[in-house]
Amino acid sequence: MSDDKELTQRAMELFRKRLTRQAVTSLQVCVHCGQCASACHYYLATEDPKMSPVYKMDRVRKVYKRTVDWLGRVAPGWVGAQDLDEELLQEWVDLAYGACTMCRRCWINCPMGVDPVQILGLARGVLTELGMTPKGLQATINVHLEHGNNMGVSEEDFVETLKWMEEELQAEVNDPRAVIPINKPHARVVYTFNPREVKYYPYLIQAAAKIFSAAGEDWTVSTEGWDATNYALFAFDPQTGAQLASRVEQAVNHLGAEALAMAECGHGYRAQRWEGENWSSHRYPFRVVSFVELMAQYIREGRLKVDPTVNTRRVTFHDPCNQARSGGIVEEPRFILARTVMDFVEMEPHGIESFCCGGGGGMLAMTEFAKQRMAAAKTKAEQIKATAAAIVATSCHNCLDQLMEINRHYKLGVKVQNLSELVAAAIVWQKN
Amino acid sequence: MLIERLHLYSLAFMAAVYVVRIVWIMRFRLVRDLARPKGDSLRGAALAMTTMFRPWSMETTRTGFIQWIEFAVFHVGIAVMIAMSFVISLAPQWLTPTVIALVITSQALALIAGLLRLVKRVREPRMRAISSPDDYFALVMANLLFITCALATLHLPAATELYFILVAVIIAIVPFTKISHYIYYPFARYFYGSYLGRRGVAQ
Repeated sequence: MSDDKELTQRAMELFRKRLTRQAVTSLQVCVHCGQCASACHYYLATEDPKMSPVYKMDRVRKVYKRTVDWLGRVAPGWVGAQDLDEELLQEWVDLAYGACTMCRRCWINCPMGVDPVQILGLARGVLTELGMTPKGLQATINVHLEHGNNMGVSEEDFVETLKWMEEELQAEVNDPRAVIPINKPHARVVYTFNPREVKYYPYLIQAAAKIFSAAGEDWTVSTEGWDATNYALFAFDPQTGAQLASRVEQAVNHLGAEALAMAECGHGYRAQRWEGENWSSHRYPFRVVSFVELMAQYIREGRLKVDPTVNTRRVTFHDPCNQARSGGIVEEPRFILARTVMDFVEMEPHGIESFCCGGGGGMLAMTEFAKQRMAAAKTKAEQIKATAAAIVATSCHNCLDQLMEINRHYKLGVKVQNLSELVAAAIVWQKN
Repeated sequence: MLIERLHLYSLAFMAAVYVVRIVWIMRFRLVRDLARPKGDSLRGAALAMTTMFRPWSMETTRTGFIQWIEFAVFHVGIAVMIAMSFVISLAPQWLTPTVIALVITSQALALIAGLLRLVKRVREPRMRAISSPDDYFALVMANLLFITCALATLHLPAATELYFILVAVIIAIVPFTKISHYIYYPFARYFYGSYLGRRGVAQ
């Protein structure tokens, strides 16, 4: 048997194995109305018929119809069914990985409810098991598996950065009680970071620490499992996803905390909060919350005193897809911004209808698709421009990086900041 | 009458195929969600079932309201056409002049919507790129049914016979075409709505 035939046979076995009731429903129910096209930033930027969600999903649906669906097996030409071959597998890489951020905007605009995560996720998962995950994405996962975090930061560097930020914070607020507790047993909250904060944006660690300290939270960080990210989510690799999520779970369990607070990381929050327990088939003995939810809670309860007059420039907010549409955190950022900035303006649309920035789905780790990614970001760039905002706030690192790139590419002249930066700046530090 | 018996046999065949189809789909593994809910999945599912009746709740129907009107008119026409397949044979006394006028109006409007859809599918590149013979067939059949249904309510014998033959044919083959989407619709909306509802994101 030739290599090609072996590959496609293996692909078909994996494909059938991954068919769930939810996936089959999404595969069956599409009526090709094309309504999803006007919801997709890839299609809107290019008007290329191949960029419409229905076209992309049909690359997978064709195989389903040929091999599983009744009519497709008997009369493939009638329903556009097709055998899976190497050419179609490569198309899966180019479309499922290269032209879809899994933002699900098409899903909430589909009259039927066809879910791209079910269908293109099928394709991504099969490709991952065949070893055809795009190299950059797989490399990020491999680094995480090997080093405990996706940037390969050593424990020594991690602790050093924390100590440095603790010093910076104490100098900023002139209060030696503002500390970053490390591995504190039985703290109420364990906080996780995005490794990019440790490497490139350490001031965000300072901001988080300031917020926790000002709110009088009993918190800690763990050196055992501190990485909030989980790029296995993008590769639709539940085994690796479970492995990475369980490291954080173990860290929280070993410290005996009540809650795990995820740093401002859209996919990380979704992976740990909404997928982790499903991957590992058991419930965590602690709650998983987003740092955004905690900040809102602190302000609501009066634990965090904030002064919005510190943030006078116009601010708009970009809703990370994994946090809002797939994660349920929509009102909290608005509650926070209403109390921490003087001039807040919404992008249209926003909330669960927000457009993806283009950085989702692991896109930033897949440099081979960078050109399409920036082209597809045109819609987001236009949204930002329309607000006339000076600052774009968000609560996701992939979004942060993508928005910074959009800013440069489309010459928007905005500043991109995490929500916690704005909150930290607005804190009225209470000495006693 | 032979025509009525053909209609009943087709309905029975369609029902049998749908039962088999639903049993088949239920054999696929249902992925259960262990994550602690933030909202009410049942409320989300209930809301999702009614989304298409609330065009303001979805961006593409809110901004493309004319398309929503076309969708509504088309599907009301389908519902009336299906109802007439029973009324004409089982309760012809209900076909008063007013009812006939309403039926013909609904079928005419649905035909306009159906023809517009067909033209769009042929002319627009993004629609052509996703269309198979099954897609064109569904629209052609729907349009033919709208025409013959309208004529059948006027008791034109040839039209009535053609209408019932087309109804019998379409009923028998619907489970094998994309027209069967209405069987999967409740499942898809349930999964969609319960997912969003569970995450506290009900639309």
